[in-house]
Amino acid sequence: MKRLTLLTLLFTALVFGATSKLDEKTGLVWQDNGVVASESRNYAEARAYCDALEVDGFSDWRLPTLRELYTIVDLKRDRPALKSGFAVRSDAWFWSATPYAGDPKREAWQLSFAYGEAEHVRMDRELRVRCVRSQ
Amino acid sequence: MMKQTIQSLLLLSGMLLAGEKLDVVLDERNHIYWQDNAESAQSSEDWEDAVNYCQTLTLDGLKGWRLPTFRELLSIVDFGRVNPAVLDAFVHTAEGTYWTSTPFAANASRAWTIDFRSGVTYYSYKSTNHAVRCVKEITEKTAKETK
Repeated sequence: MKRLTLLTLLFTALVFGATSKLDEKTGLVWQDNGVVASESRNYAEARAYCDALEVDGFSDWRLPTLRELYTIVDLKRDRPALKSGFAVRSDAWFWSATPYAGDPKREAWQLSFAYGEAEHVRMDRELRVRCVRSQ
Repeated sequence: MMKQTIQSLLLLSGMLLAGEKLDVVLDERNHIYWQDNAESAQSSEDWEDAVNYCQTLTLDGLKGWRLPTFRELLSIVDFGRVNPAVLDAFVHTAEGTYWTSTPFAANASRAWTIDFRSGVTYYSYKSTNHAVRCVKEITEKTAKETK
């Protein structure tokens, strides 16, 4: 079983490169595989997806808060306004877990990695997801 | 005027400084003072005038103010509330958008702003009028002056 996991990891690494990235400044580990750029989900699905995610042998993933998401934004760059070191460089809108205080049942915060701007949107919108875990 | 009790442990209100320093909020994490007087709620300047306003500002006898960076201004947003979405330590906040010093990477005629009604972040044209809240480094000299 362990051998199979190792083989799977090796295979994934060969196909996608690394599947997560440690940000040493914050101690946060970010999902960084192909799914980040290819799949969209509504807010509830995004939370459930991260909670169930298993990447690099870890299962304690979660949807990042807006502040956490901002720690990987680099405003000196654009399209994407994303720090260096990430393999998957989508410039789409991403979900944060942070509810919008003005309408917390229906809206949450989204961040665009085109330029780094953040807005609140309805939770039924389908956006990209990059899960996070603490090291 | 009495300052509100601080929500964040990282911010200490001007009340904790010498008695006269009532128009500023001390931000120990960022090692800066924040302007927090009536003008920080009523100002409306384009970006260049905002830069100049801070440069010429004298507040509680302190000079050498500047516009906050995007990261500095974002750090005083409280996403747990709206109208205004600002930390409790601040008393004077406009129902509107504030300038930062951070340039917009894709277009030099824009700069980053934060709307304190909600916390929305955006790159406004520098010719637009927005509110201004200046910041100032806490130097050893001013730190001594406050004792």
